[in-house]
Amino acid sequence: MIFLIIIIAFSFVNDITVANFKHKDYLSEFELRRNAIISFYSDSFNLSQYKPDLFILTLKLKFKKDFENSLKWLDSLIENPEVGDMFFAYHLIGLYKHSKENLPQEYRNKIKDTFKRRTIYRGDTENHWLMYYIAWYLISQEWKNEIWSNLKTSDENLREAEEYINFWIDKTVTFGQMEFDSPTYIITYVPPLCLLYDFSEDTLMKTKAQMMIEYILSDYAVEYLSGCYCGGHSRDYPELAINPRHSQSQPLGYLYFGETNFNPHVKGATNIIFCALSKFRLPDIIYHIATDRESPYEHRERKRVRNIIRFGRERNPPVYKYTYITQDYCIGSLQGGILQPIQQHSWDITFSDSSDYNTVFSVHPYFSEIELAMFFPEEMKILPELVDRAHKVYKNPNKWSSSSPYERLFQYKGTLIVMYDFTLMKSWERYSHINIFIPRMLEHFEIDTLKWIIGKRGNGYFGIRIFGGKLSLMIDSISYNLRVYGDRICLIVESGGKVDFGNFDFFRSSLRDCISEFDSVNFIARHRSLRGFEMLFKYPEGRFLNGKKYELNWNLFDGPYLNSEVGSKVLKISWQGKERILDFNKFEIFEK
Amino acid sequence: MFVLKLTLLILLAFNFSANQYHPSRKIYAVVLVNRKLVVGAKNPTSGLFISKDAGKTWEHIGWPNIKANSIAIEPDSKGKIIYLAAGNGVLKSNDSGKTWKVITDWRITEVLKVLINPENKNKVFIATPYGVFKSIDSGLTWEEKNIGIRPEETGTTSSTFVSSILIDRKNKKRILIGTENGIYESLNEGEQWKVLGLIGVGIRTIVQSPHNLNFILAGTENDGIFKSNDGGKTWEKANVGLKKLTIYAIAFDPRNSKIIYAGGYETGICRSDDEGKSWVCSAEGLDGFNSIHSIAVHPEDSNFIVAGTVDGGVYISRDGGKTWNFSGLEGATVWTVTIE
Repeated sequence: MIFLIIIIAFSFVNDITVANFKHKDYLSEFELRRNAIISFYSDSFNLSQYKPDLFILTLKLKFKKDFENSLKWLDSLIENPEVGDMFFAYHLIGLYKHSKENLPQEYRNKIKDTFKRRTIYRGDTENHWLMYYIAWYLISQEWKNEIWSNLKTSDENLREAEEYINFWIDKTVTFGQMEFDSPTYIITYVPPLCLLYDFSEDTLMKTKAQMMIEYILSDYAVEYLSGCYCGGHSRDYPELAINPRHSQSQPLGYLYFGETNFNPHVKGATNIIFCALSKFRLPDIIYHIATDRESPYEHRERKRVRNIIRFGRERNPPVYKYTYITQDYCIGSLQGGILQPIQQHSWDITFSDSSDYNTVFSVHPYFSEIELAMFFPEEMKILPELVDRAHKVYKNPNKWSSSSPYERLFQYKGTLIVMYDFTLMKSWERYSHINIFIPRMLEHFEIDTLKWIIGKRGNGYFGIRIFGGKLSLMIDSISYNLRVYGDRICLIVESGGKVDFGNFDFFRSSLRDCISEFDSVNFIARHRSLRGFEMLFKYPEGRFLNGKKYELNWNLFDGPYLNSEVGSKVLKISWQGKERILDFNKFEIFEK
Repeated sequence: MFVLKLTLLILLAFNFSANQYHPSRKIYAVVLVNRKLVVGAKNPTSGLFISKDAGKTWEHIGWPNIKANSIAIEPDSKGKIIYLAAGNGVLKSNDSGKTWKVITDWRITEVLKVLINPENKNKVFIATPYGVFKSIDSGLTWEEKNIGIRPEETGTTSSTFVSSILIDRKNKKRILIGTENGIYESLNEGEQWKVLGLIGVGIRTIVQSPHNLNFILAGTENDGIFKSNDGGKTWEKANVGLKKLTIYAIAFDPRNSKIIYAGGYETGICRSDDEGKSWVCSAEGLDGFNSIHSIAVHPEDSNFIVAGTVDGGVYISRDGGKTWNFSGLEGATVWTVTIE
């Protein structure tokens, strides 16, 4: 709700975009960006015109801007007994810790009293639990020998919080993150970890927080392209999937990596305040990984499916993510299937130009009670309605993010094969079509005689060939919305750019030389790619590259910049001969 | 004159029976969610509600925001000691709900059911989407008890999705659990589980008849009601008259062994007068809230029945289910109702 109010408030604010600064030295650039964020919210945000959230109040109170008014707003934000969940808890303790020196004793007591009386809902997923336990860790550490709203003592809460944080770190670095690579939910990890880093009295916990921030930001950096998070995502809001530059990850990208403008209109942008206030400084090797797009590269990752509580063979099956990144575009994908409920984003091409709607992808707008029941404990017949109340578009046939049990993908470099088998759908499942998002803002768009859908956006190019379905085209103000109906649908996707194909005409004419075959009976696609390799994909899991079986069995991180073997608990970060090693066995950082 | 007096007396008695309050017995309604819950937003109150006037008014007690699922009241504590199964874990009150302590830690989440051993109140079991946990010290410490139902043993995470739990009143060491993959039993108080039946069937509830301890009913997802006359060794469908086959709640009439109530997804309230051989379902009086998640029959007044609906709050019948009236908690999805 707080986010919504802020968005509404900002929609009336004009010309507030902060310029992107260009400086040679990473840290000085970082300080400029950091200061730009801080001064924007502390100086420009007018409390008499717009309702603030706890992040903005943190800044106002810390820097004593409009102080009395800020205290009044603080009263109003903490007085409602019905507000009390993990978001609220971590926001409020963050405000307290950052502005404590300036807070009158009366307000210190009010905040403490809020945690003593207000019951805090823990939530039901990884990001909820991390925020909840970081909040309790800091609350219990701040006020020792107290009894809190859950009637646990400071010691009990601190111990429990520490155990969960340790558990989360261990599982993440051993088997991969669950809510991985989310342009939306990354802001529920990095800002609370910044708080933990800034205010943990325990130096080991502080180191752990630092290492996890580096871990998550490295993960982001390696798939970062001028303000956008490339490829497949565990969770993404539909309206952001089509407009990645407006994702919550964008302000994080601005602060730590640059190459984009700060956009305060982004939903939840104020979360960045805890990062901007933090003493955490990103090692420049991670910054370089985020910004060095001199040569194209492949990057592989292995993550985990969120806890499957029923209808699964195992609790957290692996997720394989593949991304191919160039300076002009990136294309990335997950292997398909139900890997996350509701908001999965299985693949996309993201173009590096700085305007909106810079992406192309397809989605099977699927929903079923079974999918939700796999991850949520409520009664499965009721779940679609409950989820639709929160997420609004869950049952919408036009939605732009969704997992699907009937979707499978096979990517190698800039080529991707996406297959959908709706013959397997049950009568109570929906829907039997796919949607392809292609932005209107293209310099070239055509459907050629071989039915290649061809487009050019800046220096990025794409071609999509559709087999096995009937195509309909709906044009709206932002997209060519292609809908494909069919039992068995196959998309061959080719991506390219100036960096690897030179001019667009060459890319376009080369598409005609690709040899693609589709056998809908056996559901097999064969494709000789633009880059000359041969891919054969037999739905659902038969992947062959140049005649050899292509196994999905790679490491947690596997690429030129990041490497981590499953179970090793060690992340090796490399760039141009430099190395930074995060050893989570010893919680030590080594540099070469 | 005598006849007139007798008639008056009968009428008064009938009137009293139909409208009587049960002040000695509180009704507990556990509200999972209210219609407008959104995580991260200002939310309407959910959690535990108590009515001390037979459903006329309700008082919210304890936490307002924890996705509460079910309740267990310690026997002989007169409502003083209460366990609440919730999203945050298990909460316990030792003062009739005035204060609550979360008695589980980060390892236990989204608790669906809580059950106290009636012969040893220190032994408490909880059913969760991650299996069964047991406490032998009234909730001070908990141990996972999943041997025999772990996904690596059964090949499915459905076997640890435990939505109901039952202590066999004939043999208190025998425990039955309803999982998303059928019914399992333990003969040693949860130390080890083995398949009892209905493998592949999603179990929503298991209940044992108070009249015949060999008679057990199971409500399921999509498969209606199964009954067993031999304590769970064999099962047969008992769906005659049921039009919708997802059953969340079953309750026995405590005084008449033949009468059973059931409810589920879009079922309305179903009543059997022949021990489950056949059912008659009706949604009349439920104002369109025909999905029922919980049913409780008053232990002393069989005509007094409480039903918790999905989205519609609480409905009460005072005539054995013939008519139903809205009884508060508008908009609430009432996961569990219990009469003290």
